[in-house]
Amino acid sequence: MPRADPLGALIPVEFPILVKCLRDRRRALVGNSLGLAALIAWLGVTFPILRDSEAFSGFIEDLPPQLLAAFGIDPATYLTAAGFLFAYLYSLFGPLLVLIFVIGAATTEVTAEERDGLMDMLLSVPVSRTRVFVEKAGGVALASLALVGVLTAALLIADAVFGMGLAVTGILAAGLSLWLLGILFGAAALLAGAFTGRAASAGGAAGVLTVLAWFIEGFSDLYSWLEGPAAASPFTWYLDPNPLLGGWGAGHLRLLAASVVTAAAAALMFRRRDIAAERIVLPEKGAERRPSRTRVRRPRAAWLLSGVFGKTLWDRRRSIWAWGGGLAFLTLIMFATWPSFSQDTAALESLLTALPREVFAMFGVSNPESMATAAGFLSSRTYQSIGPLMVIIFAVRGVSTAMVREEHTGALDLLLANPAARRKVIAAKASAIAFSTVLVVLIPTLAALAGDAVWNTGLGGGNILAAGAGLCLLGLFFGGLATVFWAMAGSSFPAVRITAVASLAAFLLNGLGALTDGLAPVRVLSPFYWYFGDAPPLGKGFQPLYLLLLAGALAMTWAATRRFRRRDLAV
Amino acid sequence: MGAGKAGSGAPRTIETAGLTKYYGNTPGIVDLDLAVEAGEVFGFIGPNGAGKTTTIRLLLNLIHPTRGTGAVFGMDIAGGSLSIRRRVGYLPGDLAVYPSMTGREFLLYFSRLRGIDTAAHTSLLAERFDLDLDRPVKEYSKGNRQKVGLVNAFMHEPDLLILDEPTAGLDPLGQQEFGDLVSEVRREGRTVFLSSHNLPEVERVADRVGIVRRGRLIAVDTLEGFRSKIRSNLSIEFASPADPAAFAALEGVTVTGVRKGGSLLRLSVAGPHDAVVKAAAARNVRAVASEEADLDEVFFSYYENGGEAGADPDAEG
Repeated sequence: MPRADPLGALIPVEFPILVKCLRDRRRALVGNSLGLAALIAWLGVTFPILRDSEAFSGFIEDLPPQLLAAFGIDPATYLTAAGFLFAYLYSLFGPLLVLIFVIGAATTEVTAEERDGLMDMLLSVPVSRTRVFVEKAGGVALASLALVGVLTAALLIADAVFGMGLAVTGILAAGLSLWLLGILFGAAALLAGAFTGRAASAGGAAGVLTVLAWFIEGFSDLYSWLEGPAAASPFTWYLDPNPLLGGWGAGHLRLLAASVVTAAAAALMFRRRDIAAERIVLPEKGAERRPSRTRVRRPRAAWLLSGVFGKTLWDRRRSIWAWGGGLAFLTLIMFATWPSFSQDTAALESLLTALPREVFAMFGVSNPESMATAAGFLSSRTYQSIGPLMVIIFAVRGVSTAMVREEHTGALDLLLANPAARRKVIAAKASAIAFSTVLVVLIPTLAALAGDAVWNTGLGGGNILAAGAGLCLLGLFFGGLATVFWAMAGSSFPAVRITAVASLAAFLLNGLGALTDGLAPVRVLSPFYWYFGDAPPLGKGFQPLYLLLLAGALAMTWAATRRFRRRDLAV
Repeated sequence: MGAGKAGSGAPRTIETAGLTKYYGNTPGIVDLDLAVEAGEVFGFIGPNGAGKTTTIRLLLNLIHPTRGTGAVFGMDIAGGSLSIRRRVGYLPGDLAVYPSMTGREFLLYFSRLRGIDTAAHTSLLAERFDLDLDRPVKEYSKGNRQKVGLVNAFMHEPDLLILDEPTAGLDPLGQQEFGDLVSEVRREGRTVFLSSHNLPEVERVADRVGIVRRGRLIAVDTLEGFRSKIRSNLSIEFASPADPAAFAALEGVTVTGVRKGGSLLRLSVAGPHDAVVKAAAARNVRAVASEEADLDEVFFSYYENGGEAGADPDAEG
């Protein structure tokens, strides 16, 4: 093939697998980079406001250090750029974005081809498994390096523009730390993926490890018994000391060593693996079996698999447990920490008043004073920020797998070849997604009811149930939006991406709209305003506005059904 | 038969000894002793789940044997896998493609992985299969996707082609082109190992056939060999009525029908027809019609009866 061929550049002679891995990541890289750049711009704007607030700086000196530590605030450095960025960028959003990206990429690289039956082809060429693995791992590492590079470059620019006064070496050292942290958990995903060959196990294992390591590090300040385990948490190696100030050190080496060991174990596992052994068709009837403990897989849950509703629900069963369990865990953590906060609500309240309101607004809390009450504090994560985010993602993913993906794979053709009305098929799928969303919210709701009883928060069951109902309806609203987009276009781009962007915009509209006069009139259009507005859901019982969420969800599902009945399938 | 033994002269292209793969307790293939010579087209037939794909994936080191050994080109299937794969073209039975690539990108990707330039041969093959390479693979029909897989298997002119259900989804023209390709490969002294449950396809292209049943290889022979072993049907029309008893007395012959007042005899014959023909020659013969057994009959005869006595110790009932 002549050199001038444009394909030659896309698929090079050297490292084709690595280059393909990078190419496959390019969209995600651009999206994540834009998000990171926006985040850093936001932090750059916020920081001077905070630093120049005299009330706040005077106030911080009076607070008990333990309370501040729980907020990730080091009084000695919080009012420096390094301390501020440590609290918001490097402890929270940076790792969140980078780890989701790296774990997702590693999981895809090590399991997607096997799932799609492509690994057979890939490994039939004269390229050793070790090399396939090394190129894939290298691709993931380079892609995450690019992402961390964008973060670092954006921070260098923000440092210059907003006069943050950071040391360049500190920014570089922190970037290296963050990259190595990502590599380590990416390697964990590779290891789990090479062991099981399944995306759910790979991403799930790495995700659970990440959350555990993060919690152990974060809560070791509050609970002394966590100090031992915290020393073994990669987040401790990464965050202690502050990577922006610590320079080059033992943390880097630990992260690097752990990454190398994990990746090497993953490579060994990948070399020994039987590729796609479970894809082999079942043997003929009457085939001999080994004498010992014969395992026959019985048809599972036949009663569930008897219809579209049951099948859709059955497909979501693991997700329901995983997402509901995660939310319940988060809820219990919040309830468990409330007693130590409630001992000094006055101090907490003055701290909350002194912090810039924009920071809270970004987290969905437009009324920071409420955080000093049980309802406000306990609502802030489960019902006002992480909770809604997770429930919406869950509902939209439901639409994505049960509708978009089935159309894409041709399963929907098969389904609609049966004498089943399209309207009924969609209705069954939509109600299964709705029901699974109810179950996902039910799990943390039960956790909250238990937490309420154990830690005596005085919220009351009615408030908890009402907050759960609102949360569920919020998820259904955006699930309905995704359904409409899918019914109109049939492709995953609008159904997933536009819904994601729309929900994020609505979330910020509610939070920031409370602070910006110009936005106030449109703010009432945000579904998040209907759900929590300015008052924490746990403190206000069932609101009539929740019915608006319900009406919206129903109307969109109805519209989607009508549109879908006339659409050409899978074109 | 010892796998990979450097016996007389060049090693066999494929040789396995006691090759066995269990998935947990479920047998994939058990105690496979197989020998495929260089330059032959070997058909591996059996129903779904009999162990064909398992065997192929063992040969390619995609899965690892529970016990037993195998060699391709005299090299161990595990230790020599890299060298083996350099000389093998493979078409998976469950072909999948990268949906975001065009056909050309897909093939270029795999030739880059092989580290060779196959562009010229690729275009030639695509032309023969009437395949438009510049469309995204995800828009391809099943047959066109299969053609991409075939081009990928043939494009580097490998010494051994391992093809799992090669004509699945191909239109008749594609099937014919495939048959021609296989013939050319054989003429060039290269080897083809193909699995199928499409018996006419195997019959068209294969020199030798192995029948696999419930994880075990129960018979290997040439097509002629198989035919000679099973009963075939003969119809002999005489000028005047003949005595059926004279034919029924011959060894391996059963009279299955007497028509036209005894002047048309239908016989079922096991093995060679020699004795029957000689007995018939004593009379005035008007016509002889022989229905040759096709592979279907061979297959079912083996499959249902377990073949010759003792061929399949696991036969039920």
